[in-house]
Amino acid sequence: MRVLLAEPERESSDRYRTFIRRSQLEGLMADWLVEGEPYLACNAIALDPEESALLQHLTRVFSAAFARAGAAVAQDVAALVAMGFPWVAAELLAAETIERPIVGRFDFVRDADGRWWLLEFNADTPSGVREAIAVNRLVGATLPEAARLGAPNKGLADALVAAFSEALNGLPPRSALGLVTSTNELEDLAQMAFTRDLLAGPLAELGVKVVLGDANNLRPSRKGVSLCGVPLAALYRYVPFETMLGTPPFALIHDAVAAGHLRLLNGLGGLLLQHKGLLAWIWAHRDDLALDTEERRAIVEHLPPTWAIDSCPPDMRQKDLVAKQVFGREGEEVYFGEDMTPAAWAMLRDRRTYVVQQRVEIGELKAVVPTSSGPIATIGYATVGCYAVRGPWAGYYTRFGDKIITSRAKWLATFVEASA
Amino acid sequence: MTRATGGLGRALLQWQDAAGPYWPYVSAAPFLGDLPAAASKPGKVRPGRVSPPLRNALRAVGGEVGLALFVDISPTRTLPATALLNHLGFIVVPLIERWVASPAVVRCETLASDLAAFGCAVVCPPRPRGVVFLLDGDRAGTPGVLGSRTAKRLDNRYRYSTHRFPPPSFLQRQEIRTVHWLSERGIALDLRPYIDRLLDAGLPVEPVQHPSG
Repeated sequence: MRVLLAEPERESSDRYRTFIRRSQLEGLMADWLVEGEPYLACNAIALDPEESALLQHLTRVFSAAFARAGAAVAQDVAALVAMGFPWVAAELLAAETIERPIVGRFDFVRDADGRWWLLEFNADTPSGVREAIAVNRLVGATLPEAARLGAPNKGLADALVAAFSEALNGLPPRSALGLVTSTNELEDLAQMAFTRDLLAGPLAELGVKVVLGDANNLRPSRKGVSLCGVPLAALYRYVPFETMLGTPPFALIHDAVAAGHLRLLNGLGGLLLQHKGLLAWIWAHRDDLALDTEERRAIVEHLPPTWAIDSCPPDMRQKDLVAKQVFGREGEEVYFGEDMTPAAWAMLRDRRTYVVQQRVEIGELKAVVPTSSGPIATIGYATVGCYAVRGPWAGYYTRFGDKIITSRAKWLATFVEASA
Repeated sequence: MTRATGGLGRALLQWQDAAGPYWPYVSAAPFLGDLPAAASKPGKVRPGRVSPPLRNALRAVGGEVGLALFVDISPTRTLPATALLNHLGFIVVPLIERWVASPAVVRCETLASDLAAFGCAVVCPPRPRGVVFLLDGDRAGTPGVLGSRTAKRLDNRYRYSTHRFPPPSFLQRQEIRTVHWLSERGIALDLRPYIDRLLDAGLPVEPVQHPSG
């Protein structure tokens, strides 16, 4: 893996501005600033073909392992409650068939020795689809350095359309799919508007209309729910369950599902699959014959050892561990043991809502990234996200930042070196 | 896939071109939304028309240079002042994050046509003495507006997150020394964290008295 641009003089402000304009118009990137700083870099990583093949293989294998683990854990309501799920969510999960999500994203890092490690699975409401589909293509069209590289994300849009089409199979003609988001979150709204644009044409051919709305636009209807006045046959939720649980829209959706009036394309299963406690469960079952040979091997070789914080082996040193809140998203509530006092670490243990993961010494990279004062070269770490669409790998989403990748990290495009 | 074709797409680029170094802070949201092209045609330009609160604010800042004025009132009352603000030496930056759609809880047709119309006329002053950020004072909608009669309208009400606001260090690099803040009902709750960031960075924030406030 290498970075295409490592010297700031190779980036020009005019080129960057043109790139951003096109990203806004073609990728609906209205939200390309974070705390006033640019998030999209007109820069990229290039993966070796062997690395890319490995990541695609691991994505498929981990998809199967997570689905198997989720299905096993979902049967045990008491265990789910112990993992922090409210009782009502645990009961709903127990009644749900845990499937590979329409779209999820496995986040991998490469250590200093070149080995790839899975850090987490974003299975509930993964972000970055616009960047992976539209902005990645624009970087390829903008950077001469990318001209000879493979464009691995070119099939992502079609994969998503196929997955949604399959999930809606059997709906009567003139049905409607609702994409429900929060219009107060510009990033989520723009991603769903982009998804709506992606799906509208192909689904229209199947007789399915796509409606975009805020959770406040959900209403009970004569037979189920409506969104912006349109009765829904199916619903895709792009609002985190944590913020919806117990709200009127949550009850409305699940009442309609229970009555058989609504097909929910992403239920609570995604939240279970991305729960950090499931990482610990998978690590604990790395020798379990219920997992197949490939899955057991991938876990042992590519998942950093992970335990519930109060089950961590006593010989593990705090400085070699990273604590992660079980429901944390996008780097929230992630703490490196080396940065914490023993007392603060003990407080995390007392909360019992954390897992600890063996720290991965991630390999450093130098990259040019944009700032509000112009491009700079900086040393940082890349997290390579791998989209899994109903299981198989379908595209990349790379971010570059500090040792904890948060919303302040920069997005980089992802390409693959030409085969020798 | 390009959505914002025609009037609004062109207008986004025109506003960005006229914003000079502030171009990243022209929020793209209202230019990318779901309004039919016919509904976002440029409206009638009303040059020189300035709403009373903005006129009052301009009087208050007088000939001061190195200032940023944030105007948190309805943009359909402030966008018509674009040409005058340019004439007075201000860069004008619409920082409006409303998702435009029709029908919507917060109506968008006038906003869209104003953005398109005044985008045709906006310029970057040759020697700017400051910048005016036009915020969306209508973002909270009208209290109690959601009911059965509005069920078909997209609920596009929102709060600012301030992610798309210029960092204080950026304003200081543009030689901004004072921030003036015009709003109808005091500084809105969603914008107080941004005010705190400005103050923490040593930028004084002067509220401008609204005549009806």
